Amino acid sequence: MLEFQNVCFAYGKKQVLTDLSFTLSDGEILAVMGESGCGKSTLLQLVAGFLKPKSGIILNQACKISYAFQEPRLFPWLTVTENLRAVLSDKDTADSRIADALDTVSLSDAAHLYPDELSGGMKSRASLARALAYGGDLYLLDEPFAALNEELRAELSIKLRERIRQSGASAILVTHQRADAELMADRILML
Amino acid sequence: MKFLGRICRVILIAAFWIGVWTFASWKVGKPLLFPSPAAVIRRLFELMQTKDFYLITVNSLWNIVKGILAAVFGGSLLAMITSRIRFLREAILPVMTVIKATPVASFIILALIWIGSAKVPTFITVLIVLPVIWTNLDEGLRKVDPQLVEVAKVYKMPLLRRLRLLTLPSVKPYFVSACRTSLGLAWKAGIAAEIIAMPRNSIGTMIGDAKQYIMTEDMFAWTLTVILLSLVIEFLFAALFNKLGGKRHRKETV
Repeated sequence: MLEFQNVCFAYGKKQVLTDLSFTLSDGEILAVMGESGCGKSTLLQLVAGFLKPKSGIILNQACKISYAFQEPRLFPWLTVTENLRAVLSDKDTADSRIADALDTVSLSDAAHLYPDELSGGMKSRASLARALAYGGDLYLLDEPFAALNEELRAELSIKLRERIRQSGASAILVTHQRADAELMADRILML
Repeated sequence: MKFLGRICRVILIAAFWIGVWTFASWKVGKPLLFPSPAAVIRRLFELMQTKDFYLITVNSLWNIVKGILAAVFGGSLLAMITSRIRFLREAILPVMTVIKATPVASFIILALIWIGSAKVPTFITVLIVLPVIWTNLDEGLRKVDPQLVEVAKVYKMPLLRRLRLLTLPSVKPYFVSACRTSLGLAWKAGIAAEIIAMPRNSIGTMIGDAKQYIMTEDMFAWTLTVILLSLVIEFLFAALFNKLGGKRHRKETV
């Protein structure tokens, strides 16, 4: 489904990724780990198409990408529900998708709140709920549990894994936490 | 209670300044040069009892509102284009800078020669308002949060939804600020244009006539009419935007 072939990327003169090659199969969950600045988030941006590799090839067959960014990136003038609805095209199923996604991240009670009324962890969960509601065939998860406490991280990791498994989608999880990677992923890629 | 307090404060401030005006007028002691507030208001009520007052007021109002609407439409359209085409923006920027720096009177006299007195107030209003609208909107459109643009891209938000949920809310504060600034400028420039161009049935012409015949009370009364009209338009504008912007606005991405 997704293949990196000798991908190189640099920000100006700073080389970030060098000859990176890996394959992500359908339905597989891959965790990407490494030190800060090693190019984990860059990798996701390359997959999303926001960045172009300096050399190498990226073969991506995913039609729908659900991206939970490192920053929650919620529309500040929309409530949590409206933020989720903003990315949904099918009006008939929107309500149930939103309710389901919010339930998964335990944020149903905050559905009517605006982003500035949420805590850091709640914003991250809202962003995650948006990715879930959209229901892509490839999930790009950039440290989605960073602002959460350990208990919630573990609970969400398991729920998220289940949801992704059920949908048959693939996922790339960028994380600093080995425990998150082990709970969620089938394989770990060290950068 | 809060509203009542605000009203009281406004009344007190107004009373203070009317008191200052009355005192200054009494001190000057020449009603022909500096009429008292009472004399001006009396004259305004006299004018309001004539049909011409309404004809003149509506005519001036229409001249200026027409100019504002044309400038808002034109400036917005131009900003939409220039925010996407950098070269065009760079090409237009000097023109806008020149327009902003040139004295309004120069444009009024030129316009008077080019297009005749009747169209001058509207033309001048467009000329003064358009650069303000364009500058603000162009900036607003270029400053739409790139992180949110990426969200819209990755989730493949259709163009219209992106416009409604991302572009318009992002640009709204810039647009409102541009409109607020423009309204005051439009009235000043529009009436100045009328005073110099003297089109038929206009407030500016009445002020010009009053100046010529040293009818200071008339001049004050017509000026007061302009101020009141400007306040009403500004109030209506604020109400409209409060209604349109019922949902809260936050500029920063969270």
